[in-house]
Amino acid sequence: MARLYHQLGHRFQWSLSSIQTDATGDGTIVGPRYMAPQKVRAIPAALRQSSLFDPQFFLPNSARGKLPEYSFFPEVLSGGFTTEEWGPEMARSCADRCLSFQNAYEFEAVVIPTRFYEGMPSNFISKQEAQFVVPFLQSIEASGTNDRPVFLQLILTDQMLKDESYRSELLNWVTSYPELHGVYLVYYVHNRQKQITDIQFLIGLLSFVGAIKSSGLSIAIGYANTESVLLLCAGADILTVGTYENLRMFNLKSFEEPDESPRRGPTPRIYVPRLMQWIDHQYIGAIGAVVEDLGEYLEDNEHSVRMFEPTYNWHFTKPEPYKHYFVSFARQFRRLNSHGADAIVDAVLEECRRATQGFEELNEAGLVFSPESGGGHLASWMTTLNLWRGGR
Amino acid sequence: MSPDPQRCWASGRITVVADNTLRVEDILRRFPSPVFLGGGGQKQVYRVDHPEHGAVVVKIGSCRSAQELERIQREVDLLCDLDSPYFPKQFAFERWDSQRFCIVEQCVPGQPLTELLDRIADEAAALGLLRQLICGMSLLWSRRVVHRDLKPANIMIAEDHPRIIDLGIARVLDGTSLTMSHAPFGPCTPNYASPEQLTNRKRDIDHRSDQFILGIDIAQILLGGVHPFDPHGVRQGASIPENIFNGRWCRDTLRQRCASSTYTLLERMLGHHPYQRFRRHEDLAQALSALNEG
Repeated sequence: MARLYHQLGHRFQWSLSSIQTDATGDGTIVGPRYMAPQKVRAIPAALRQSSLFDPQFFLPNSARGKLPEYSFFPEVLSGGFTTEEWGPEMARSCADRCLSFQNAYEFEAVVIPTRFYEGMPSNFISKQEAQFVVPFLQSIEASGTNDRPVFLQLILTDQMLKDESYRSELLNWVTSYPELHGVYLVYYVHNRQKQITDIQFLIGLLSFVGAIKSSGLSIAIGYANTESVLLLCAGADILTVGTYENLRMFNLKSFEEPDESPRRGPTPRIYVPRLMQWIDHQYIGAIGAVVEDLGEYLEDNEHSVRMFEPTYNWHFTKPEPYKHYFVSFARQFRRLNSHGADAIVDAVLEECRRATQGFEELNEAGLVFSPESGGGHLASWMTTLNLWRGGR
Repeated sequence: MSPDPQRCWASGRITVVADNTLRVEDILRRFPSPVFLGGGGQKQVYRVDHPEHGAVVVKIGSCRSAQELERIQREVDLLCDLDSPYFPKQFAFERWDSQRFCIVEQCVPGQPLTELLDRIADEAAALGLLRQLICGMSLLWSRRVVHRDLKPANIMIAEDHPRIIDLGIARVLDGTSLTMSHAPFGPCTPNYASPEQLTNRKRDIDHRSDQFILGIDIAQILLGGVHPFDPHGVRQGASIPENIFNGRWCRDTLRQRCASSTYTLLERMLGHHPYQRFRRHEDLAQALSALNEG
């Protein structure tokens, strides 16, 4: 059975309280970008023991946020990370410190971090091996603490996952390490919309996850949005929810040097399981006007009660929409997850059909949604599942 | 000056002697009644009665390059370290200057599997052989060594258990490669090679390549001696390597010839990509064990 973890980042307290109060998660994925070491330490030990620590080496030469507080972060350790100067000794020292941290905090597994590369570089594997994978494996062996499962992080671009030959190379590589117990996958989709609609990418992703599972490795998938329900079909072991979009759609913005241009806060949205979509909060009244019971339609819970008050100030700094999402998505996730391997694809397809029908009914009643709040992704998702199941 | 036989032949370890004049006859003179078993060109093989070890094989040869000699030396080193009943014991290795060598190893009993492929009719016997081969190979695989040439000719079938011979092109995964980096084929026997060996994708060559070749061997036994990638059986392709390269084999025929559980095991061993095969050799052994229990 798949487990639902919270990807912790900005406003990680909302996640922690949601897990503790609403039981919306089985664990967390902790990242240092937004959490200083003392905040990591403050996570209850029992929760840490069912959590992974992602060292977030995506851009090893850019120590943003709380990353400078971690001595093992490449930029911090080397005093200015460059590939040329990142030799075996430095890499090993980094591995030793990072492993020591992960072991000291008793996370459920050790994560070997890797870095982000654009596109599909031909030397992706050899660079990751030399810079991180081999030093970490050596450190694990030397530390004698290899009773803890070992996960290898992979940050893959949409091009990598769409290209069958590249995907096979990655799979051959990852499955060649007998020391590994699992893969911690993060995917990056260029120019993505809020929901992923690229069928070729989704099929590549499901195939990759399925192949990892068939090899006997576990797979945790970080930074996932609601396409998690598709990944359930491929047998993923750990999927994630997160507060803001940068925890549900991987990108490097918060890891790069800050840009000077003013940033706009996200439009507050509400996740509607019935529609399998995040809907702009301004549609709530319109939906309420055409459905019989708005509360039931939006899967009302204690967090939404306040949201539906006329005086509620919708703003992205308010926790209610996110806590509502955690509760409603966790419920949907667990309901689908309860289907066995043979039945889950049909169950997710049925869920997509039901959501499509929901959008059709709202459209017939006169509601026209922008692409970001509409049901356009559902056709892509159903097509993906049909083709993937057929082995195409 | 001739090397001292006591010094050179007792330890089973490598001895380097500077003597360019030593002839085959000089070497064989140390043993009574040498019997020529075969060879020619670069290497001659004799069976002799060794005063200490009984029947042994003496291989006397010369190498075309220092690299080839290194490879032979590494094979001997490896076998000396293994000390396994599944591999011939090494009693001695001598090399003269940089080109010539002599190996004294256990005379392996039995017949090569090549001669028995169509005579092991029983599926249980084929699986029993596979189990023993995996048991033997696990010693190598756990040392991150890949045989790369587990063809039937390199498997000797004896009454007690099989022996695996010819580790000449074995590869130590962590070691420095002795092979040409840009050769179109990796070192292998093309009819008994995995797709990654045929395309010389060195990074992908590991114990799963051996697993693929063992899959061919066992499938060939179950197919009554017909190679599973044989163009006649597959009815496609011009050659066995071409069919291996394209992942075409006699699936339907094999499915009819064995239990579905055996077919499933072999299908996985013959996965076109390494990631489709058993990830760890322990997983393969476990799957086979479950098959036997079932």
